Amino acid sequence: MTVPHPAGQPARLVRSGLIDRSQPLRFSFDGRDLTGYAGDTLASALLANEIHLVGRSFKYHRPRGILSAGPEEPNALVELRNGARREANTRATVTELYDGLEARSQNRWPSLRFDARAVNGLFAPLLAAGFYYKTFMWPAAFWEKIYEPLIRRSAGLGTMASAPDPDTYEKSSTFCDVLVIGAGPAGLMAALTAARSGARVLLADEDFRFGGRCLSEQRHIGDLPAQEWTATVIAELASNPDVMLLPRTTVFGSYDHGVFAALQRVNDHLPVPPQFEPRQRLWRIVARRTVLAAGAIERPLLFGDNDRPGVMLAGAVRSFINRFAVSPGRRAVVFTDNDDAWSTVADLQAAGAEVLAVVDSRDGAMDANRLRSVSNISVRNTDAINGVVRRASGGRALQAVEVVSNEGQLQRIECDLLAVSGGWTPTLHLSSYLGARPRWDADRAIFIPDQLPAGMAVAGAANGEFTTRAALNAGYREGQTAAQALGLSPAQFALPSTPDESAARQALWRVPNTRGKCFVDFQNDVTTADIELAQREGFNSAEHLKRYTTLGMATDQGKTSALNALALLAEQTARPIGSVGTTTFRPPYTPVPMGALAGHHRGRDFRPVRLPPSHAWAKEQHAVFVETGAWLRAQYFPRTGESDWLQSTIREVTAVRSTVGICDVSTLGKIELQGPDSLQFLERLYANGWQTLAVGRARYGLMLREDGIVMDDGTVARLADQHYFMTTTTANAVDVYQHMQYCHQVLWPDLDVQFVSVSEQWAQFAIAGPRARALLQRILDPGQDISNSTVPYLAAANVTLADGRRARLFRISFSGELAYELAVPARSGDAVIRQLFAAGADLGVIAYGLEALGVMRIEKGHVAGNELNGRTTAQQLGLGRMLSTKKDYIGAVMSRRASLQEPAGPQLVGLKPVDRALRLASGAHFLPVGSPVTAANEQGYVTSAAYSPTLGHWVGLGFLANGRQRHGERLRVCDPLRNRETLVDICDPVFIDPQGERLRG
Amino acid sequence: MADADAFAFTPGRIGRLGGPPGLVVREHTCGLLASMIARPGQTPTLSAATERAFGVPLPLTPRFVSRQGVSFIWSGPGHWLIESTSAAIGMDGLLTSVAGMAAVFEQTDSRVVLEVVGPRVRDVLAKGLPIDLHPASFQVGHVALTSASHIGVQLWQTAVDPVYRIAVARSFFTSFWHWLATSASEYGCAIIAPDY
Amino acid sequence: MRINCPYCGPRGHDEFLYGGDATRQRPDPATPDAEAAFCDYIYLRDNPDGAHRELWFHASGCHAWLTVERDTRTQVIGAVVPARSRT
Repeated sequence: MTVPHPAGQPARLVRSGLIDRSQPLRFSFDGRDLTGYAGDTLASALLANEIHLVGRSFKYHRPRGILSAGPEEPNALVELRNGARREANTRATVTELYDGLEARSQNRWPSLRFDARAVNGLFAPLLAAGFYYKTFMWPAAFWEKIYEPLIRRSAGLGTMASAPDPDTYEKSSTFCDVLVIGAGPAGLMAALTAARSGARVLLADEDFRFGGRCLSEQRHIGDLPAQEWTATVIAELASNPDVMLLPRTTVFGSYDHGVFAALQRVNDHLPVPPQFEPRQRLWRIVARRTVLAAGAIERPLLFGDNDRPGVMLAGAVRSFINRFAVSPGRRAVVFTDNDDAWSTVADLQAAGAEVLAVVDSRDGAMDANRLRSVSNISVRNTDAINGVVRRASGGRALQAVEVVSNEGQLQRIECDLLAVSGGWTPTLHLSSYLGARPRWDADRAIFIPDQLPAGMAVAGAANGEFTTRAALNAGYREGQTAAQALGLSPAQFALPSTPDESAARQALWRVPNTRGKCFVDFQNDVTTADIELAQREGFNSAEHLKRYTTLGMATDQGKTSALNALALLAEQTARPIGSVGTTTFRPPYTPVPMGALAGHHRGRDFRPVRLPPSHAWAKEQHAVFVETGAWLRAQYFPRTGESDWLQSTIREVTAVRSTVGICDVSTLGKIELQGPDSLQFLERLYANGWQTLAVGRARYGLMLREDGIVMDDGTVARLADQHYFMTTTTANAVDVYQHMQYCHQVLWPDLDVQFVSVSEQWAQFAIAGPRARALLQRILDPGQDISNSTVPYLAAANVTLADGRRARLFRISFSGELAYELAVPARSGDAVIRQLFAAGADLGVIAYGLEALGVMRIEKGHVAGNELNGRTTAQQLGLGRMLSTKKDYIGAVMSRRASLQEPAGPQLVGLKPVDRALRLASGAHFLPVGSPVTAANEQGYVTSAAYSPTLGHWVGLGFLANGRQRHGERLRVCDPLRNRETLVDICDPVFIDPQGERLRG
Repeated sequence: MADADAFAFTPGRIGRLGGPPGLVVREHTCGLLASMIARPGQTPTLSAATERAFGVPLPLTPRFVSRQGVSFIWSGPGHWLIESTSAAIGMDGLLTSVAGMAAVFEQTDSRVVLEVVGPRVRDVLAKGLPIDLHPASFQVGHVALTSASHIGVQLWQTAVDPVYRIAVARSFFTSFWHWLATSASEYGCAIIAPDY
Repeated sequence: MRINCPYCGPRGHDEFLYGGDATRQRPDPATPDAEAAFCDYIYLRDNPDGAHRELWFHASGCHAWLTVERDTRTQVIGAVVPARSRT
């Protein structure tokens, strides 16, 4: 008899189990306040409170209970937690109970007990396999507006949280000699053997407690009850500093060369993670050897209405009794096609339940001698029936089962629990993720791992070694093998003597002649009838069956259903199961939260951000920042009274063109080259020549890809005879450096050139405007001559600042003004920009950002990222004359291709609106006046556009067919995206100072 | 991690406060950092030259050697990072010693170097560095070029405790520090004054 | 996937960048059929099922370009040598 428990948990057993009765925990389900104990799962605590109805099914909204006690659970999915932490589709069977846990049933309306959409069951013929494809096909226009929203409303499972996740997640890497996946008897023994041999061992198990089936079975290992033996092994492993134990950790993926991914639920067992601790941690594990000891999953049997709450896997029944001290029913029937489930009888009886009958489908199953030999089962007061359960009856709870004996005798047995077992399926997923298909073992009627990834072994139930003794032996064997392979001397020790149970089975893939719905996949509401229909419609392959019926999809990925479905398909197509094969196994083994995959990388840490040396200063100036590649750069520097970016930008451009402005250009890639062949290397790298570049001079350079398309541009300065300093664009800095390494290491390893990135060493500021020289002079050593004759346009010089700092000065202009780039060691950057502003206050110095930089380069017709877009040639950019004909360089041959020389091809032009009040936008297309707006009439496109404060109207750059011959022509630019059309005049791309007088001034 | 958010790299304590910190970090300041790249075929001569000038031959594998405040830290084939903690050597002295055998590039301002130590230092680093720092794989004198949370780093172990130094490109330092501080806050992290 | 860098030791593939077929040789630009040879060099690739020699750049490590023997079917990696040492 079950003794009602004092804490109001009527199905709780008074003794035994691995729960802590001194730690009661409060929780709620659908608003009802309940209690459980530390050591419970949500499922065991619900059962302790005699709550069997926990959810509604996906399609038919049928009442569902708890089928399993593990990760395979298809039914007992609940919504856990509240607010921003709410998570849908949480399996109650693996949710560790904590004080204050709040869970709600899902997929029901208005309530779990009365679900209006259960009428779907009456329309079952409409909802059969493939109903999406059949029912919602016509009219096509209905899909987006009517069908899809309708399906989404009614078919979804839980509800997502809509607020950002307040918890943190992280990733971590670890390395080991031997990774053991699963801490049941096989895994514990493998870990123990490998650890005793001196290996670095990592033991991971998805459960919060190590032990696997040892926790759930009344068995002895050696002299100890299995639960106690487990504790002694764990204690030994925990005392070894080279053993890492990861409970609550699911190894969910395996990758090439011994790499595994695992999810550790660090704090899912608490209402809120402790401060500073992550909720979950994603592990990347690199293992030299792996022992997969993931155990096995029991299969349900297929009979009518086999989904009623109260129908439970036999192994789960034993788990709830032995591990969680809960009796899942008072009046039980056991239905099996194998010996293993018989031990459920004794456990139920010990828990005070009445076992009314054992129904075993096998011929000869009831032979008394056989029963004695396979187990010590006492079937006192229990009816042993050789036959099948044909149908379960009841609605929200099981009421009775209809049993048909093999002799054809029908009887109805009133009961509230039906323990079912269709045998166990090895959990071999991780052995198959790299593409190996498992092998069908006809004797045991299971798939077992066949060809394994290099370094992996499988032990125990995962390998079809189902009994405790076999599992221990297998763990020892694979622990030794792993040690041997690592070059260690394998530990030798005597295994505890353990009686062997019987795992004999004679497969009953389905009960014949059932009535009612017979579910194969509980989670997706796929029945035997759906599988038959799919097969009749021609879906004969396992992969097609899965897609058509949705069998094996969603959170459980067919863990309880896949093999049963394959067996049915085999039967219907009269093929052996082995030739039907399995569907492809793919990670993850169980669902992985997106937060864990993101780890640290979200919000401002989404990716690393690079800050230029003036960042702190720019922040003080209230700069508005913009991400450009990895860099965070000042976009503009708003001043009081300025209402938008355009106003600030106009002020900044105007100031640079009239006084002086400063922009941090440290983000440019900077590379220094030395060595006797550095000139030769530059010659091959760039399309233009460098032979005449004198020491102390800089020059613009153009780099092509080998296919003749422009790759990047920048400047090269010659600092000494064999010492060059080159810059790349900000965007291409990493690619160009890697390209140079390729050219040097792969193409021309004989060149005696040494180069390294010095991007991080130098802070570099553009100082531009008519007063640039005056400003610069104020912070330089007074003796430093920077007159136009000493430091002319394109000069490069080493200079000394007034405070003694050493710097490099380049007379380079991107803005078109008199301009310098001053490079100082990066740590001095902050101090130097402050010096510049302090020194230049009376000169009207201003800071300018990327917007102003962009406007000025468009005014000046300089090409940038919009034009150097990976599809343009030097000829198109108007830089064709730079291509040297006197040397080989990257891209030389291909840039001479006839198709790239086409005179009528696109060429860079400038454009301005005929009505100067109108604005221009990049992305618009050139079309002749009067022709229809069609692709056939398109003659090019606008790449850049900006309002020019200097000219007082918008200007643009673009590529126009034969454009250089068409200056003065009037065209339309059409922008179908923004639905705009503007009449423009085509002109030279240089709008300001075409002779370059300012920059040479 | 509000604590780390508000944190600037100044002495103090962040993350968990009770008990000794799991990570202790300070900036290791370098008088000089430089990249040295050997000219083709010159490595043996160069190594002999550094041995003459500084008392140490060059490491030819991912290791570093130090003597009297000067370290040669392997940075790739034929490539070393030279670190001088004192005014022991400057660029000029270095250039003279290796002239004709190698190119030297000044990098003093290019990197921030941190020294990290503490009972949980390996657990903290494992949250970003994809390499094995277990003493069976990585010991005093070892060097690794790798990434930490997608940021390139150079790491070397200077004492058995273990003590590691980590060099990070200056522009990435804020992101790097945010990752390190976040990763260490679980164990408590103390920042102590730089070692100058 | 892990690649055993001859300088740094075994590292995860995410430290490396793929550089394509390592058996390609940059053609001589001076020959009369240089354009055709470059077209072949740049655009035409075999897609072998099985043994493949390919270039990888140890971007997060020592910056060495490496020649890696990889079986595209089994992912088994054979010899990894510096690309500059190739013959």
